Amino acid sequence: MSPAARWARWRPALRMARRDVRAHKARSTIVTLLVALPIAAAVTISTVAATTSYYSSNSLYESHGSADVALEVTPWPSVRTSFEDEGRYVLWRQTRGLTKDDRRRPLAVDVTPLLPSGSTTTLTGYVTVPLTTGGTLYGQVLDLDSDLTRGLGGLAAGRAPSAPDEVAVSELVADELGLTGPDGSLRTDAVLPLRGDAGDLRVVGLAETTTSYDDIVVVVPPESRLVGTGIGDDLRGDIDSATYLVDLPAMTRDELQALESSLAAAGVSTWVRDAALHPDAWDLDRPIASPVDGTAVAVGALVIGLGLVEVLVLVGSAFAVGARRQSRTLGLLMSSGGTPADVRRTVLAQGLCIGAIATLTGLLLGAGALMAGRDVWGRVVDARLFDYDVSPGGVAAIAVLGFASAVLAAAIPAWGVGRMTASQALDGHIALQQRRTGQGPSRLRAPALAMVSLGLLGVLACGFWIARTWAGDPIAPSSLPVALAALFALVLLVGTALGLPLLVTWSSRFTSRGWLPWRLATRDASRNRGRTTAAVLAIGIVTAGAVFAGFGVSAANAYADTDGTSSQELPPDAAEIYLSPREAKDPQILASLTRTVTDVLGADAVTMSSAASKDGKRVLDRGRSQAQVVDDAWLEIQGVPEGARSAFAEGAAVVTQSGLVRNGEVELRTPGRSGATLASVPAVEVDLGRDTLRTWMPASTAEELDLVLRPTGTLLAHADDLDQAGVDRLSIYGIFAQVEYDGAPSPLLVYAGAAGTLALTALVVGMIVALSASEGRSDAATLAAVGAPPWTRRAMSAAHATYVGGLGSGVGLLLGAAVGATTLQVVGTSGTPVPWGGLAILVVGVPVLCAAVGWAVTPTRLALTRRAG
Amino acid sequence: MTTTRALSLLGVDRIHGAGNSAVHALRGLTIEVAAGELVAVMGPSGSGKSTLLNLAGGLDRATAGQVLVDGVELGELDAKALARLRRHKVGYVFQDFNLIPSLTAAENVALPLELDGVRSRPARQRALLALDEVGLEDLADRLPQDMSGGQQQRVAIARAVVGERSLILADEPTGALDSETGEQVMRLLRARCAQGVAALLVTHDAGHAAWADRVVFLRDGAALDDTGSASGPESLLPETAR
Repeated sequence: MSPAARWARWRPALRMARRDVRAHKARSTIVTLLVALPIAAAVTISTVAATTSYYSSNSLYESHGSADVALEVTPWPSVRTSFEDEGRYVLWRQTRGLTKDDRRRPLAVDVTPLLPSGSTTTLTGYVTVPLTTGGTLYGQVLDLDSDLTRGLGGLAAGRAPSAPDEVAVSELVADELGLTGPDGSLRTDAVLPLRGDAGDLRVVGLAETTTSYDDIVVVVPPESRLVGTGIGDDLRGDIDSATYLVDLPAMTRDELQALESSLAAAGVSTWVRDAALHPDAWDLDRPIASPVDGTAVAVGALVIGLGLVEVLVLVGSAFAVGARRQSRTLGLLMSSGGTPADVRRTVLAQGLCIGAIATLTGLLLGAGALMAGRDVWGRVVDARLFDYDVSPGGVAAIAVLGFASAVLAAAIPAWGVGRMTASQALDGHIALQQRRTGQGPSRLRAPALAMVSLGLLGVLACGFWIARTWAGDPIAPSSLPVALAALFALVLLVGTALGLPLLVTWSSRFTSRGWLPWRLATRDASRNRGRTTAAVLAIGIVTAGAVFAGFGVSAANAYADTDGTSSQELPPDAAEIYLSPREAKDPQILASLTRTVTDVLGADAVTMSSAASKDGKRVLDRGRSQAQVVDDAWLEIQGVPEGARSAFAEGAAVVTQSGLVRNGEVELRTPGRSGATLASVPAVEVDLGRDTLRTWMPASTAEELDLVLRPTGTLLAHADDLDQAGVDRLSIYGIFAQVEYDGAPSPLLVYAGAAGTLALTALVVGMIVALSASEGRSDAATLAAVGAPPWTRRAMSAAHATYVGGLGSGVGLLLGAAVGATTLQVVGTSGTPVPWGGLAILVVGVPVLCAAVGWAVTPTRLALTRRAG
Repeated sequence: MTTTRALSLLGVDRIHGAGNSAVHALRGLTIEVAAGELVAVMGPSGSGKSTLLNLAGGLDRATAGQVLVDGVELGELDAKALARLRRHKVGYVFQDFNLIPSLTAAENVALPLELDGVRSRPARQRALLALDEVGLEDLADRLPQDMSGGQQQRVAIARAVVGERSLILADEPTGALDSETGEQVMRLLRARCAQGVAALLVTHDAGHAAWADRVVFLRDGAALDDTGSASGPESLLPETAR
């Protein structure tokens, strides 16, 4: 047959498919969305991921705004430069022969004569902003009125700071520091009070965050009095270098390279956007490719595989509905001379048609989501998205995969209908034919059992292997066992899919008794094994995901509760606050800081330790920890028992490391081989149950030993129910603290996962009810005709959904628990915590949800005259 | 009348199922239909009428015996060859749901041609000719849902004869129609037979069976009786219609 003739045989199939899509709008829309939504999600996620990756063009805005070049004026009159990491940054070294005497003050260098005429420059950098709260914030030097700073900062309200005493802060800072009025707008008299001689800064605008959302942002103009005055002790713009963003007139690449060289000769290191965007054109070395993370690839492949199976099952079920409803049409096709291939083509054409529409829809939805949701995605990934980095190859791969999944989903029912005879199709007996031609599910018993057994054993064995691998080398463990575990998990999944018809048949023998709707539903499920298997598998995969996530949450909590204690140093409800050595010596700063911490956290105690030394040498215990002098409040916060604190009050040292206290004394010495033993002081040993190894002594004892004390710069604060939120709030006052990380995953993730599970389960149930209704209409009509009450149909649907949901949750439990228990070895949890509560909710909740959806979506009314149809 | 056999069923058995659940749909049935002959098959439900049509058109296979269409033994053909035979020689007309709902009248008629690899345009032209013969060329671009039951049956007949087919198998083609429309359909079938096409008609209606050259009575899968040539359908028409 010629190619033209072959194509001619596709034409009727495609024509019918096209018109069927139009004729059955609701069904077509659902199937299209089932395929299109994953495509849209994949396009969105991959694009956002590419955009926020380190090597994206978008990330250049975060570092250099929209500047063509960024100049770093060094203290040296000439430098040698080299582009690093594909032009992402520039390294410089002073030219040979230069001495310290050749150094200059970078801010004093005028860069204008070094640049082509028509260039625009703006100073940028960081300054420290010392607050009267005792804390210190970092301020960005930015001209917010300049286009060059696009990406580095923006204004949400008010105006850009331009005068030396002006500043803009983010809304978060303004709200916390009381700079906004009741309506949320900036107060006209808002000031940021600075400690010392710096005076106050007038807050004239609300700055948008720079690189991310929910940031603490303080922006000062290049003209700010904080710039170049040395108020901050780490004012880079004054001491190390001065950075300028530059907008150049149009230049060729050769001219840019010449400019870069001439600037280096003048002691200016130049970052060039063109080099970062086109590293090959600048002959820049590619960085050594990081090795592929086998673990991530294996887990990713498993997740994508499960997702594809889910889509195939859902979309395949929808095509199966269409094929069943089309059986008469297929029979007519055969009676008109259509071959089995023509019949397959007719069903497959629907996959092609829906696949094409869904792929296009998915791509458009993805593009729309990216364009309309730029701000939302930015918040999700906590980054500003200016230019999307779209990978044409990646998008094409997603489109092909999505289209192929639709065609593959249609191929499954197409293969089935291609096996029936014309007379059976005319009678609408697709399912009957499939049962007669096959040997039933029993022929799959052996391979299914073998694959399930192999998968389970393999997954469990890999679990032990993973645990041993991670215990041996937690930094760089082998990813081979994880990859193998993923492979065995797929074997388990395939084996389960093959064995499900057997399970359906077997289980229906035990459940097809009792209440009439239940009896009818379970027998119907058994009679239509293919449909039931697909639905059970779909619910099983969703449930497996939820079980796996449940294990993950449980493991994370367990890790935080048990294994995590090995590295825990802080007692509960306590925060460590860090000060610079200069701040720690200043009593005024300490007083202000203590006041702020007390006010913000509601702290009932704030205290600081001091390090002891003698003759300029540190004083150590035999565990080589420097002895510290603390007060009783410190000990109380640390959880030292009352008895030890009483001894401490009498002058004894408190030692937390076992084995250091001998005969009621601890030995203190100076470091080095020649280190002398200073004294042995009375001591008590306490076990805090944490990784804190210290010797604490009272000030009186230190005084007796004539030790010199120096503030450690570490304060300890205690407040009831102190958590990360309190510490985050404190950082707005320029005070940086730390609490013990609880390690528990965000409840939002758990809720989102549960909601996703429920939504997908409801979708699957809705589809199986639709399938069942399409085939069981005559049964329902017969029931109605013999006087069954109207709710019988609903009860049948609910019973059917419950049966499928029960089997699905059981299968999901098996898959999720096996894979979950194995993969969790990766997090280094000793043993596998079982989330019994969550599992119980799933086992009961999924069937109940199924019953509810089955009941809700089934109409009670059925026209008896429709029975014939 | 020519003596060429368009259809021959010789000692045909058809058994559905096996063992205790086996059902004998046809038992040693022998029927022959000559070119240009219209043969009606009557019988109660379950007598094997539809099975007979399925076997005659190669939609089903005989358990024993021979089925020949234009001298070709269907039992020796594979699925593809049977499909080709249906495209070239056999046309079906069913009681209802005769047309593919997503294809227009012309596309329904052109379907066997397109399945045979004929390009769209020539297939449509031949379909329009066939529709013209049944008086429905004006409705060529209508979908089945926009046509009456009688019009749909006439389109089905056009599809059954398009492409020079020699055998029409009609399963209660007038069952869902009123008597007047049924008469029109029968007249059309009769006219096609007059042009040399053989037709096997399954019907419950003795009035429609009277249009046939012969009537075969089936019971329990076997032929009970085979009438000779009837007096002709014209005898059943009102005087004014003759």
